[in-house]
Amino acid sequence: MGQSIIAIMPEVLMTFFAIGLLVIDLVASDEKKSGIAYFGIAFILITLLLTIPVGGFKIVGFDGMLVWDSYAYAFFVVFSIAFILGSLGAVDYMKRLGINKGEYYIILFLSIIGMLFMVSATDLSILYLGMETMALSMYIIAGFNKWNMRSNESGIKYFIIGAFSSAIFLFGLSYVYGYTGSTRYAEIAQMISANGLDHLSLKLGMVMMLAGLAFKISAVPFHMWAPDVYSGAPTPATGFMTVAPKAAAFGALIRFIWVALEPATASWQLFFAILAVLTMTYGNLVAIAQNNVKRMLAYSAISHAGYMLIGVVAANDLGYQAIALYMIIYGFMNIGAFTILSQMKNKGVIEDERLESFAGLSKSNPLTALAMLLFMFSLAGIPPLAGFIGKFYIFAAAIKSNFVWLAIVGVLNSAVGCYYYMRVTIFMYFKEPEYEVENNLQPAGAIVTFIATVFVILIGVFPTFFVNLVKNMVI
Amino acid sequence: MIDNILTTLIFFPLLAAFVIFLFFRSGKATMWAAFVASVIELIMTMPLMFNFNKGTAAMQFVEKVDWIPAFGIQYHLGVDGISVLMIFLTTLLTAIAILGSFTYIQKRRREFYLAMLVLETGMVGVFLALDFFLFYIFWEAMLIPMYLIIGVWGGPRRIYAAVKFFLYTLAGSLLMMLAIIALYFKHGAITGVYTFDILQIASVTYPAEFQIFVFLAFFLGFAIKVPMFPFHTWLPDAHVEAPTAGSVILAGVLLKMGTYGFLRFCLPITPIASIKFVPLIATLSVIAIIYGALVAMVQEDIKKLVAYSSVSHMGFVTLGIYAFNPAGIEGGILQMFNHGIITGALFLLVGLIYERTHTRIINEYGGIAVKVPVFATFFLIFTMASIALPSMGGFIGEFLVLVGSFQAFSDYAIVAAIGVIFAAVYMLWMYQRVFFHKLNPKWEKLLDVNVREVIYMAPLIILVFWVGLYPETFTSYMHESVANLVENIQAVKVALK
Repeated sequence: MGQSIIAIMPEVLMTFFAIGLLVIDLVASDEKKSGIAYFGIAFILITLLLTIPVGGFKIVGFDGMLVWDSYAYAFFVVFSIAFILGSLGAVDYMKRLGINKGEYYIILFLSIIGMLFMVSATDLSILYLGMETMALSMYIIAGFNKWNMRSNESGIKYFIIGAFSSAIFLFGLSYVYGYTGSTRYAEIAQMISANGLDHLSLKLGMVMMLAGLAFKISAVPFHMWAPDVYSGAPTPATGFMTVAPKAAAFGALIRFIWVALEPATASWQLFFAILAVLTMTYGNLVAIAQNNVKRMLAYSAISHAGYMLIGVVAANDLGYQAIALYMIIYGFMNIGAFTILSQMKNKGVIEDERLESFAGLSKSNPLTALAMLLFMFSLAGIPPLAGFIGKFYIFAAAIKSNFVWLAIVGVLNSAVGCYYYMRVTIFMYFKEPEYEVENNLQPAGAIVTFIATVFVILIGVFPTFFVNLVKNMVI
Repeated sequence: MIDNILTTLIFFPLLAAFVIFLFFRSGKATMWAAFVASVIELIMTMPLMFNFNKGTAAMQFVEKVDWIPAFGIQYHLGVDGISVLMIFLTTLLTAIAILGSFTYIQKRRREFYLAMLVLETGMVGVFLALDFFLFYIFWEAMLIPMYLIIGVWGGPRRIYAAVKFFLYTLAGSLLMMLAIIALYFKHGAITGVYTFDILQIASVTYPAEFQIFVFLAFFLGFAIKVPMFPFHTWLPDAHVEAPTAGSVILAGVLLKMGTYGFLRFCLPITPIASIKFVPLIATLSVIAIIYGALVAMVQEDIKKLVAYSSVSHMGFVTLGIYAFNPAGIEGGILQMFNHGIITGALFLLVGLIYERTHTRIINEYGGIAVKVPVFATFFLIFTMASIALPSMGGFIGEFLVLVGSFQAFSDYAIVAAIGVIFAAVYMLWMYQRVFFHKLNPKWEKLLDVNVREVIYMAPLIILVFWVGLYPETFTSYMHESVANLVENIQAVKVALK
């Protein structure tokens, strides 16, 4: 029992802290709601420190329903980065839009509890519960700007399609349970290696479950919700949503297929190889045509999911390490970019997401433009920035597993993808402003931008700390 | 300082850029500070040149520190006879390009000089890195400042040119990255040691099929950079649109990275594939020589003419390298050096006159030699050097290349020699139309070169004659390294037979 409590400790701590935040919300006056973000950040940092796994740490709880290990911890780091940058970056934006409510930060905080369950689950029922906790929080976050029609649309759309995908997942789960008689990953693996995969209902169940997870990581052809949801949600929320929930879905997916479907590796490798190619190519090609930066970044998020799927296909230790590292890096660069985007405004327009609004930014706000340039080149994977380390790791994983063709498709996609990131820099550096640009980063936004910039450079040049973090992961 | 001289050389410009960024606010102050920094960098190259041991093919001034141990990635630097001249060329041309931009660059001066210094760090790093990962980082990182230099300070079609330059180079290098990763795993599988160390990776013989895959990926990356026909289409755009300093660095240093890549990676790591692909490379080189010259002939824009002449001259370099004999390779390296000096100088001269006339169209000039005699003399010197007049640098380089390639594949050498004649045609014809004939009355008040311009042209003029009259000063650096390289590849050649 004691061991089970330790295994679930991060979630327990986070729940206590979430209740604490609710209490603080009660006493905080309307102008002081940002304080909840600061408390949330402090709480998550405390949890992060208290749950550091020490040397080969792996604690199995509740008779194998969930574990707390270095793998889950690495993903917890991703969630924390997303929460810290995402909530701090939201402060100015929420104030400007007049929706600076405590709930926003509390719901973000709660969603992380769901994500923690997802990545530490070794039982399908726990995985499903975690997924729903996360998803329900995200639906609210997407529609948080309730006076804005696009945000409403985003929330509703996300809810309907999300519910649909959860249902598919659950339906598949019932087949798997029916065939194997268990929801534990290890027992499913045993059944598969004993009896093989050659059973229609099992195959159908697996495909439906994987499709349900593919929805969450917005892999093509399960992506159709992503562009609208991402571009409709409040900008800082989009930054968070493209990182944390996606990381959680990847974390859960990898543990599931790594442990439960290990005997059937070859068959799901093909499944994900196809998804990876479709996702990368579609995301990149459509992103080129976008003139709205937020929408462009939404499609770019799809293409990045495609790159990360290469790591899934590789099915070796480098593969899942690469995904965790990629998510950490992606968290810094993408939320950094979204924070700058969320502060673009000009006369009469409180949110300006058009590419043209970036014209001449390098003159009016040289430092902001430089940071955005670094984020864009990092997203494109140009060294010495962090994004390159992530891509390098992913491609190394693919080549190690002899998926050279997939790596080639990946690098060709990177070259194509580079173009739309460059378009932002073209506007910032090479074009004259059409009108007075206003992007005076507010203090909180400036801090987020600064932290993200520092890490984007630091991880690019000295990746050892984070490389070791993911190298120590064991599933 | 001599212990970490290579690290100092790489990071001094970056550090200087950072200090300047923090403490210098005005464009003028930044400009001077950047120039001083680049001159200090050039002076710091001197101990490297003087203390270089010419009697060995081994890497010198080696620095080796673990960097990302999880992947066997090291911070590994070293210099040998192949790279030492390139370092000198880089630091020299950067200082000259900065001095040459004083009046040319009028807008956003501060950013321009910072970009130049950051660029210098990348360029020096490429020539010194002995770890594939480190090499790749410098190789790509350099693109960002160059992209900005073309895109912000370039001509009317600068955006198109900058994007084209960036994407072309990126596409080539990404495949190279895959080849590097493949080498890493292959080397690990063969020896059990997983490392990105270039020397260690080069010490293993790989299966022929694998070599072909690696070679093709490298080839694409380097051929785009050189650029070899048919991958050259980015070059005229980038060279013409870039500001003078950008063109000088592009032609003088960036193109050399492609040929340097062939020498440093393709020949030692994939000798079997290199030997197999000799006919392809020799053919493409000869096409580049002839085609570049023919296209240069019909250009109406002087800068474009010089740009196409680069394609032609770089063809000689690749031809010489793939002759696989000492004369050819030494000629190739010397030609890399010469081309950097000569084409750099020509771009500077074109930029210099453009500042005064705001045109580069040949037909709009005419007879200006009477108005700007000193400028005309400078231009004549480099025109002659470019067409390989004996006693000038270009002659020694092309002559050695032709000697080497004649021994290896005489048919190609004969066609290449025709290219030398074409060079005389397009350069002299252009010179005649610009400087002689009747004076175009528009240029009645044209001013001759000033002191600053003489200062930055002088070292180039001295060097072009120095190489032409006493090439041993420069070739002596490379004898051992080239001999070693040739020995290894000839041994593979014999083994194949």
